[in-house]
Formats: sequence, C-alpha cells, structure tokens
Amino acid sequence: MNEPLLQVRGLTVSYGGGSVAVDQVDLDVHDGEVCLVLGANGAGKTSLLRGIGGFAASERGRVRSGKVLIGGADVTGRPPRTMVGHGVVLVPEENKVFRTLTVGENLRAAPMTGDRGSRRELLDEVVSLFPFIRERMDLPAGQLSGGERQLLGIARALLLKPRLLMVDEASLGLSPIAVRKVFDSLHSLVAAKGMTLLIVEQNVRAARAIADRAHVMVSGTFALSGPAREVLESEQVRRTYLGLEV
Amino acid sequence: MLSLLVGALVLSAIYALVGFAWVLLRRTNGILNLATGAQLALGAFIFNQYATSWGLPWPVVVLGTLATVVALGAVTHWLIFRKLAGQPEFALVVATLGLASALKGLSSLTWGTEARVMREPVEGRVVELLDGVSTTLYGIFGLVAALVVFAAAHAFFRYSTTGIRMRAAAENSVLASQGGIAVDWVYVLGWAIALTAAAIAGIMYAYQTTLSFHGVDALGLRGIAPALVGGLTSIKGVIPGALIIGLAETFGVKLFGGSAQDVAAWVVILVVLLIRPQGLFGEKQVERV
Repeated sequence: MNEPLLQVRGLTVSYGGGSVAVDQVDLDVHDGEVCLVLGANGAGKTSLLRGIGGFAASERGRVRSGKVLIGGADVTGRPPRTMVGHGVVLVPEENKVFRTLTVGENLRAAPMTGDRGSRRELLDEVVSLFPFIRERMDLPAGQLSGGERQLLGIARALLLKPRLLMVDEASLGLSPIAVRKVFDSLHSLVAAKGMTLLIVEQNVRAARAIADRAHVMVSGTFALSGPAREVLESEQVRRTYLGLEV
Repeated sequence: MLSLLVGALVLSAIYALVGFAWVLLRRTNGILNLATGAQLALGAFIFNQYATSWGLPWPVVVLGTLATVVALGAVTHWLIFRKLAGQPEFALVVATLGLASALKGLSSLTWGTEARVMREPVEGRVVELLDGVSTTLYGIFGLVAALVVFAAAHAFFRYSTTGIRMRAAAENSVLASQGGIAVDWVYVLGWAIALTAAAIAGIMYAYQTTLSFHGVDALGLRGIAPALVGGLTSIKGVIPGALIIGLAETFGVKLFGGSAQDVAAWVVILVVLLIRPQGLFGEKQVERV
C-alpha cells in the first residue's frame, strides 16, 4: 500500500495549564479513505482534529509531542492557515460559518488558488453540489438552518481544494432529516471526487454508510481501531462506548 | 447661525474620521485603542516633519506620511498586539494605554512640547461660502476627506474580497484562520487604515488650530464619543455620532465659552452610556436558531 496521506505518530495535545486531551495517538489516513473517529463527549476527538489541523495564536491548545505528516512532510504544530496550504482543511464543530456575512460572502472569503477562470469553475462546481446555496446567496449565513450552515461550511472548505477534509461533528444539533442531507452530501463527495475524509462523529448510524476505517476514542487514546464495519458492528463497541442496544 | 452650523459640520468631519479610526480597530482587530489620540498626534507630527521641518515637495510629504503611518501600524501589530493574541481584552486595553504613553514620550523627546504652525500648501486659507459665511480651505478638505474615507470604506468592506475577509476575521478569527485567511495581515491592514484616517484627522485639525501633542491627543480621545454613539462597531453609526458631537461642541463653546470644548463630547458620552450603553446605532444580528 502507498504511503498514507496523513500520518500521526504519538500525538499529544494539551491545553493551558497542561491538561492532556489527546495522549500518544497514532493514526494513518490513506488517499481516498474515509476515516471515522467515534467516542463520547470529552474523549478527545475534537482535540485530535485540532492537533492535526493546528491551533490559532489566540487559542490555548498546543501539540505537546508527536508528529503530524502530510504526504510525508512534517507539519507538526503548524497554524491552521499553513495547514490549509498543505491541503488540510477543518470544518469545525461549532461556528462553521461567518454568521454576519451573506452566504455569497462566506464563499468569497475563502482564499481560492488558481486563475480567475479555474476559481469560477470550482465555485460553480461546489455550488452545484449544494443547490440551496444559489437560492440563498444574499442571505446572512446566521439565518440559515443548522443543516444548511453545516453544508455551507463544507462548501467553503471545498473551495480550498483540500487533500484531507476534516469534519467535526457534522450531525451536531441537526434534525434527522438534516443529518441525512449532510451525510448524503458527504457520500456524494466521496463517490464523485474520491475525497479523503477524517470525520469525528457521535451519530454512528449516519456515519456508518461512508466510513472505511473507524477508531473509538476513550480518554484521549484509541481504544479500538479497524475496518469500520468490524468496529461499528462490534458488540463491545455498541455496548460500552456507543450506548446502543445489542 | 449659519456660520456656526458650517463650523459644526467641519468639526464633525474631523470627528467622523477619528470615530472611524476607533470603530475600525474595535471592529476588525477587537481592540479598544486608547492610543488613538496619541496616534492622531503622531501622524500630524510626522506630516509636519516632512512638510515643515524638511520642506519636502507635497507629493513626497503625502506619500511619505502615508507610508510611515502604514509602517507604524504594521510594527504596532507585529511587535505588540500579535504577542497579546488570546489575552483578555483588559490586557489589550492596558497595552494601548502604555502605547499612548510611549508615543507621547517619543513625541516630546523628538519634537518638544511647544505648539507649532505647519507649512501650508496653498495661500488664502479662508473660503467665503455665502455672504458672511466662511470656512477654511482645510475645513472643506476635511469634509471631502471624510466623505471619501467613508465611501471608500463602505465599498471596500462591502464589495472587495479583502474587505470581506477583514469582516470575516473580525467576526471569528479562529474560523478565518482555519479557512486559510491570513489573519495577521488583516490586523496589519486594520491598523494601517485606522492610523491613516487618524493621521488625516490630526493634520486637518492641526491646520485649523495649531499643532500640539496635547491638543490633537485630546481631540483623539474625544473622538471615542461618535464611535460610542455608533455602538463602537458600526462604521455608518459614526456619521450621526460625529454630527451630534460637532454640534454639541460648537454650540457648547458658543454658549459657555472655550472650556465647553472638552466637556461637550464627554457629556454626550455619559448620556449615551446611561441611556443606551450599546450605542444608538449598535447593530443587531438576527439569527435563526
């Protein structure tokens, strides 16, 4: 098998006074793969994504030790903007869109690369993936529904041509119908563009259809890893970590 | 009466530029900049250095002043406020207070404390508008400058990609950074634009009075009044705020004498804080839950 697109080795992430949120985590994500990280609240899932995608200067989190490699290049501890340059784009758990900006302005805020023609082409392609955008271009993003905000966040991320798209809790706070729409869109992205995804999710039913590999996170470490089907069907996982009936 | 109104309008234009500087930094960089007055004065002193002390040609004076204040804005961000990223707002406000003191000391050491008269670009500074109603050429220039700055700012933030990114970073700097926006350069640009507007206001004011650090600094501090009326984050709210302060100060001085100059703006500030602390034109966000 080729070298993984993302290699994480012994990653430890801590905050402020030193509380460790992610502890010595190893993770590989290959090109075109959809990798799912499951776990209860506070397990360290979001911190894992932030440790990979980088912390802004105004944040208190930092990578304490370990390595993050993208395509073999060491990008450990780089700030988010630099990570975007390396093709790693995060759609965060909350505040995925600029609420005071219109939908169109949210898209224009993305620093797209390439010439004018190719930027226009990419924008049209992304808008065609999420048709509601065209109808709501002039609406402040804060007035979109939760599901539409989620999709707008993903659309903006796609304009940055990610090699690895990380989506944190895509289903959080959404109705079942909205969750299905969001995951249908992610499914289409994977099918149509061969997108490499690293998603953090608590909604197992929603994520199960698209994941290739899965990891269950407990107290900052991976308690279980393997092919998604095996991990998600595991009796131990369903009972112990996900609280589902067996 | 008409003369007083024209005078109030001219003063309002200067206050509008000062208020713009306050609001822009607050809105874009998240900083309540108590050094605004000192930066106003510094801009005017730099202009005076090029224009009067060195007698440079006017295009060089204008471009040189612009380049210097932009560079000062960049230095202010990179040396001070970039290092304070993530600190509580209290720390940022104290830092601006320290910056104001440092600039005052620097100005005093470099240019002394005496008031100066600046070299004038044109002869005949008084312009008669109507019979018995006149103003100075610099008053008219200040009005035009304020109109241009506000129109340009409106177009910039509404239509340009850079302006939209500045608004994005102002709303959520972490998300902006995650979205590939160069947040540090947005902040540098915020400082540069604010200091340029402040310098224009300081220069216009100095031409209408004299150039003294104390006088221009005090004007800059009073300039928080129009910004407060606008809710500290509304650029368009600065315009009515500036008109209120301009009228209050002009008529206050007419009725109660020169000492009312400093008092009028602060009375307006107190009234606004008591009646509507978020400002008369604070922007409301409608959000679907």
